[in-house]
Amino acid sequence: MSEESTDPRMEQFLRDAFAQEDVHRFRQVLREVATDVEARHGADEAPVIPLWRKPVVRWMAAAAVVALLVTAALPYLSPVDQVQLALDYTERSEGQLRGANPSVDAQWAEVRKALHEKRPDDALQLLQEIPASGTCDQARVHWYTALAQLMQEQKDQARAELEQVLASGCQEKVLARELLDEL
Amino acid sequence: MSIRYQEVETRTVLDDLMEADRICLFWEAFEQLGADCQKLLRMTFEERPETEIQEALAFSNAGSVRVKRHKCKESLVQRIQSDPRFAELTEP
Repeated sequence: MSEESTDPRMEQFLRDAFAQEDVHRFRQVLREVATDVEARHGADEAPVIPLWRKPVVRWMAAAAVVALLVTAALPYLSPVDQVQLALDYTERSEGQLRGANPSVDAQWAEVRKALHEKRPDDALQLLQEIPASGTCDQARVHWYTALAQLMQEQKDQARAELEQVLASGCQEKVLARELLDEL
Repeated sequence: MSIRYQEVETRTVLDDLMEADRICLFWEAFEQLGADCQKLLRMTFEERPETEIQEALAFSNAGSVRVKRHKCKESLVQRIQSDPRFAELTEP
């Protein structure tokens, strides 16, 4: 090789480097291993699956939505115990008659008693016999009629009666408003 | 023995790394050569007899071997020297 006029230092370098091929091969192996490890490590970490694509999370989200819907709909779905509601409001409206005409008071008391005893038909019959001359007397008739109809589970008719109570502006309108809200 | 011991002591890890880099620089350039050149230079560095090289690579005469060897070596040296790492690795 001497006849090809290569720089002697370069010539020496070429020969020395050639003699140490194992160093180069070892580095190659190291590089391959490092690349492989990096690829495996990357493969473990890289696939970031969005939460919503995980089946468990999807099921949990669906269950949460269903639970929320059921909770929100429960008050609307569960039937209101209209008889109990009518009884409650009959009791609450008792104090509102104080100071009225004593002769008529007895008739109102009869109506309330009939309602307390869950006799809405009797209550309605009694209401027809009450002489409702004033606006507020009429409103009161509407009020108790509504309660009796509620007890008969005639919700729509009861609502119509309650609307008339509201329109009257008499003292029963506060309770009528509450009852309408509950219906 | 004492001289050899000193030599070992004064070598640093950096020296070893640079040495390894130089070796890799050589081999990376070597592997870019054509198959014939690689075979020819390999046999040359292994100091195989010229007649064996001539036969193995089917050259018509020894002169052709020398010419081809010169071209291959020149190509190898050129590749090594044109590598950006060469300057760094040969700095004193």
